Amino acid sequence: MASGALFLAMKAIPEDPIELKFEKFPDPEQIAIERERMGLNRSWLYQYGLFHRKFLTGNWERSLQTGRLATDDVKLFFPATLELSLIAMVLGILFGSSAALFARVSPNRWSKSIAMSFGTIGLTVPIFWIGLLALVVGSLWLGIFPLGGRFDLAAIPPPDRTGFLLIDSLLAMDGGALGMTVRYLTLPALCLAVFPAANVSSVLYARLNEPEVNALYTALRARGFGPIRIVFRHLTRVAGAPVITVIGTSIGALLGGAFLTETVFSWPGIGRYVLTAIIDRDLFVAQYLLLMLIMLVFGVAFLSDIIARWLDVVSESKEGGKG
Amino acid sequence: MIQALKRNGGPIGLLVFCMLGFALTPFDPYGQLFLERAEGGFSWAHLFGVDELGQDVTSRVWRGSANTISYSLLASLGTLLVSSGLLTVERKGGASVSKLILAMVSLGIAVPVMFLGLLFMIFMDRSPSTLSIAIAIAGVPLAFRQLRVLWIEQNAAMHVEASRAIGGGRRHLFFFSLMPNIRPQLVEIWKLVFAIAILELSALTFLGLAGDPNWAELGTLLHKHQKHLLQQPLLVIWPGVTLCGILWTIRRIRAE
Repeated sequence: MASGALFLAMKAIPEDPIELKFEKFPDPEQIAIERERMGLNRSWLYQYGLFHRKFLTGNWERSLQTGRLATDDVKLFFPATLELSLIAMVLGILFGSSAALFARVSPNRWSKSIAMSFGTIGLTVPIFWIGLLALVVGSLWLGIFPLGGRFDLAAIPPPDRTGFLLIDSLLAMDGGALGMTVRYLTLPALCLAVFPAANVSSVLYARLNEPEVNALYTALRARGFGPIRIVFRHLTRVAGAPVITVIGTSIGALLGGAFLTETVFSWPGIGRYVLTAIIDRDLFVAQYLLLMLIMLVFGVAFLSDIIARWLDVVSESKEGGKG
Repeated sequence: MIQALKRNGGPIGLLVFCMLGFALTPFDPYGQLFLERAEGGFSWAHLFGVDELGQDVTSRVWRGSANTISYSLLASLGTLLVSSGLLTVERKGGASVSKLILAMVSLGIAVPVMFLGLLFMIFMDRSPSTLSIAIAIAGVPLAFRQLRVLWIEQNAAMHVEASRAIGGGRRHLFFFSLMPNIRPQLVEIWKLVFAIAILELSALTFLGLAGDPNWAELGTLLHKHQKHLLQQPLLVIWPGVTLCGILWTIRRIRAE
């Protein structure tokens, strides 16, 4: 369905996409050759099939921005986005679940307010503005964090093995590079973590306050278990499935948020690359990239659904009932 | 209706005040004041200062809030309209149509608005109207799900069953049994859709997808002023505070 929508979007363009490619030097002969090469003179069905074949074989045309093959650019930029998103997701889950679990076991009212306010932030404060404020405070006033980028341009980065600077720094046993990577990563990751933290916190808090979980909590307390044991051995198991579901459903929003975070922090990721491709009307590359991202979103959502169901079954068998 | 307006006098008054930005700004939001010092910060004539082009920032933020609200409002109403239409088709169209729509909605809910906005940018002009359309369509899966739950819940409610049993016609059932009971929930759904539309519109315009880089809209203002973060951080803070204020105001609207 996604590929169909993208294919139709390309067909609905008022301009000729091939002419857009040769905007600076429109040579009719070259345009005709290119049209033939890309199968644009053939039937729509053939073109749709070709679009799929090219996508699956990684033949994604050459980028107008960089002059390189789009697949090479993806290898270059995608790890940066993935690194940022994964770290943000981990931080978000840590903050969100800690807030919700703490609110559940703590008798204090303020702990509950913290868990509730996480959810409110998601709907009242735009993520990119949080990023801009983080820049004002962290870079401008405190001067601790850099204004943008992924690594100091004047420094030598660790040898590129995985594309993930954190892992590459660790593999190279380079403490300086690791410290620099962390310094550049901190603000964007914290900014991007707000959304998953808000989601995890509100879903988990609601789950932990369901009557059946309340009954389980009371029963465990009655057996003499302490709050720490209850949280780490029982509630985390009960909370596993909803958290996994939240991860699955919010991966799309997280990638959308990564586009914004990359713009705020000049992070050289796939979001900025896609955005520039669309603004520069590099449409053939843009359609493959968007399809890749949508497939990724669906894939993660599907996987998380399977894991959540499995966790639900485990929780049911170990904790006696849904709670 | 009048009671609802009275109850929500504060939030609605604030939103109306923002909308007055179309008519009452102290200076022309696009007019250049060449005699003022660019990025000079606060002055009594220009409370938020003057930007690098000599435009009064107060006027631009005020007009920006009016633009953000109006385009998001249109998008949210569009979302509710399309969702209601889709719900009618799903309810009346038979099992296979219903399955197809539900499958499409399940897939659609995973796709972020950002991607849909970018998809629209492929074949449409970069303009605020295109963004509104993208946001309206992207909001449909969420609104559809909420409306469907509401409809199923209310359709089987005792008071509706009772009205049906005493021979109430379709129109009577809709206007006198269903609507009075679903109005508060409808307002809640609209609030959610509206707030999301504002967040998404400002996000997409922040990415520079509005077309005109000098458009007085809160996301575009933030995008434009980010360049001057080092010289004048307040230029970034004011539009953001206004945006958060609008979103907070929408949260304060009470449905009942």
